[in-house]
Amino acid sequence: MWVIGCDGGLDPTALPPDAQISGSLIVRGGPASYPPRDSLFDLRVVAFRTIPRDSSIIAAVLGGQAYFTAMSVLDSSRYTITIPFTGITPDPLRLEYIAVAQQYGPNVFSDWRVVGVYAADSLWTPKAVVLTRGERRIDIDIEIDFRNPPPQPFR
Amino acid sequence: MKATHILLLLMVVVGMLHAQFGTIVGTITDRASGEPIIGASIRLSGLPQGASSRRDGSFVIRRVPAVTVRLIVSAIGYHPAERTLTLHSGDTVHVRLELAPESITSAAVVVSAARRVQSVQEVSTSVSLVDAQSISERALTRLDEVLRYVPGVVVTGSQVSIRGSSGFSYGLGSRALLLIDNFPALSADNGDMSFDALPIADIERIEIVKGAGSALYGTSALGGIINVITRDASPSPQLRLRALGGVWTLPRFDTWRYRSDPPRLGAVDASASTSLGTLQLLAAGGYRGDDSYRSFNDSHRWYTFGKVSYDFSSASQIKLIAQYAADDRANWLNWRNLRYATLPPATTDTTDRVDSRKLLIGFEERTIWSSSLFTTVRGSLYRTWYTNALPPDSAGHVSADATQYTADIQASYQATEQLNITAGTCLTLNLVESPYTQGHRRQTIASIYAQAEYCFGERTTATIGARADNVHTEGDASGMQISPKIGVMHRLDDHVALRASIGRAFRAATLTERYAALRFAGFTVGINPGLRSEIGWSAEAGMLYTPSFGGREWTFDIAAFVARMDDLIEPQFVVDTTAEIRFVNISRALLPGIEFMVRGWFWREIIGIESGTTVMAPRDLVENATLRFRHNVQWNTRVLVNLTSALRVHADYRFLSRVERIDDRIVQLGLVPDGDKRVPIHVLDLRLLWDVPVAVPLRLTLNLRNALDYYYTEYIGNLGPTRHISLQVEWMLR
Repeated sequence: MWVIGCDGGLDPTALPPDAQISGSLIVRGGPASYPPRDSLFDLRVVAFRTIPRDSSIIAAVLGGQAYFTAMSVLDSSRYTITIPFTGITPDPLRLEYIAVAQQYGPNVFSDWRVVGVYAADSLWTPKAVVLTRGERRIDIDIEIDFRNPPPQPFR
Repeated sequence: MKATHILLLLMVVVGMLHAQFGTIVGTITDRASGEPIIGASIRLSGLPQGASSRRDGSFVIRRVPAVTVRLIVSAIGYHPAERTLTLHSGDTVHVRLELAPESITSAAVVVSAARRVQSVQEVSTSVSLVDAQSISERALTRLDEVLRYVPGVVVTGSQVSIRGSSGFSYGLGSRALLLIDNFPALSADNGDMSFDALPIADIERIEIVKGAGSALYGTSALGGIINVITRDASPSPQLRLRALGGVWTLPRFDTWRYRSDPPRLGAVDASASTSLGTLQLLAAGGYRGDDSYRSFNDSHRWYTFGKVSYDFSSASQIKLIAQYAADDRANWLNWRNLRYATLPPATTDTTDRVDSRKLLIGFEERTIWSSSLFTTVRGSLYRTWYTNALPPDSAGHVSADATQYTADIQASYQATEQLNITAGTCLTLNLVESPYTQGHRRQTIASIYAQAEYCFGERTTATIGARADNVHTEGDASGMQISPKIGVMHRLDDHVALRASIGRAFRAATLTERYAALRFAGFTVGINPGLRSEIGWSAEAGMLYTPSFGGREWTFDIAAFVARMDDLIEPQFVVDTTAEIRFVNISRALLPGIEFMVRGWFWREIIGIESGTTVMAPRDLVENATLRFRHNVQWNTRVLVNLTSALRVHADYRFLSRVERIDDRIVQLGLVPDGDKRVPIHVLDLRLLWDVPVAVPLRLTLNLRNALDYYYTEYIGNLGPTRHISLQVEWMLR
């Protein structure tokens, strides 16, 4: 309803300049299944525009091909990713692959593995999300399994 | 079929045994000036005879049954008049009628409600009329623009909904039947309307009959009937010209300005007509071009129209109409998103254009066999071609060639002074040749109908009728539809008429809905040959009140209505997560509502008002929720101010409440970004009309439409027409 101007009708400038996805994080096996702290440097939810083919998540984010949580979700059961819609962001924006990524080593650029995927089924089949500018999706819940992680998309 | 032929033969024989006729001779003049009125339409209620007044205002109607008849006279710009006359065999009755000038016209004659000429007060269902004057004054160039001002009618893109009958399906499967001069004009493949394929400057009036109409018209008349009646040829040579030019003002928002200069629009219409003895000729043509307020939405449209009628004798007349229209337009479907609402999606192939053509040929023969029997034979062809500019071997190529043939024989028999029977038989053949229907498809509908009207004294008329339609679609079993209707009209006095009716209607699934398999606007459409016909019942009760205040007649009309529709065909997602849809019989709906209309003048005929309100509560009975894509409230108001006798100001205000529900999956799947962004509709049109004091009738109209530059969507992902200003010149030479 925020787009309704009181006297002029539809107003594109009233649209918020971003979109958001958020949801719950459920860890299979509970806290006991967490890996040792020395292999859990960081934990982020990352939303990719295309299915990633290498583990350079940071490069994908910097290149505008992926978006991640601003903070680590290591101690959180919910997450939110804010996606800015700039002049070059496609609208609608299709997020092909939304995953929870664990940084397991000291190299922030390459030491990443996928431990959870926003999936259509229990076989971790990725489920895409389409967002338009201003849209808020609050139902993107993701399961995490440190012991039996999903198939790694990276080559 | 055999039974119909026997019935017709019996009517002919019985009628010829009782042939008795008289003649009516008369003159029509302007009450204020005493000048003759040229081209007034003179009709006899319930009878086929009629005439147009000549240059001196005179007219003659021969071979009039020697009974009591009601003469109805109407002319553009005048209040209609009626006179009851009693004729004896061989009599010549002289009549002189004066018409009072009227700017808010209330054309008194309708032909669509009962397939015969009737006064509005005789009709047992709600009828709205749009006359040539209001089309001209509003500087309208397309049928959809005209219908937007009719109470109870909502236009969403290419879809017309009468009292909520239709939602939104890109015009496919119209639930309102479109007729042009009584000839059907819905395409044979999609069952949709072509708004631009009409001789808009030569429309005499448009009749909108609301509610179930299948008892007389068969398929598609689920929500009602729209009958476009073109004008008859002038009794003397007449040339009419209309030219319109204007611009779309640039929108307030930078991201909506797709060009730096204001887009232009224009239209030219020309029409010539004359009568040579008993031969009447009318030829018309026109062009309209529009850069559009949206990018990739420009259009160029042409049409030609011809009408020839010839009276073989006072008892036999033939009429031939031919119409050809072509349009070349960009293939706009929906916006990129609200931020770029005047741009198509980024993936749109902007080299693609649509080439669409329509041809309507209609033949009508009327014979008066006796004072009590006349017959009408009609045949028509309506062909539509459609192709886009993409190569035939490409995935996005779409083309279709569809033809509808209809033949209709109708007899009207005045069995007694109280009882009139109308009966007929009709055959419709739909043929489609298209890649998306996998080749050739065929549908036939054979029908028989009958309706009896009985007058209980002078005040009450009851109508009962039914139609049987046998629908056969190639590759599928036949289906029979029986559509009964009952109506009653009662005049309490000269000013109050009560009406009530109930009827059943249906719409046969179109060939496209059954057999289309294509990709369209991001959707994948699958076939469903087993679709059943949609069916519906509608009932209404209403009152027409025409009191006189200060010597001027006012009109008040109120109606309460309800429609129940079953097996409605809607596009349904096969699974929620893909954009694959199929047409299925899924919805059941209940559409109750009330409608109110008022029209009249006050303050010494300086200010006039015409206002109509429709309030509805449409329910989806399957989902137990508000029916999707419907407006619950519609309010149209027109105010007319006569500054001087030659200078007038008009204002039209149109309100539609916000559509309460849409199909959210269209947005969730990303098919139409920001498709859920919608607001109530407030559109204000202002115009200044000046009848220029020169030797020939010349009128200038300065028209500011959507004067508030209010932004809204009529349907998902489509910005409605923004503000535009135009100047129209109308000139008539005779």
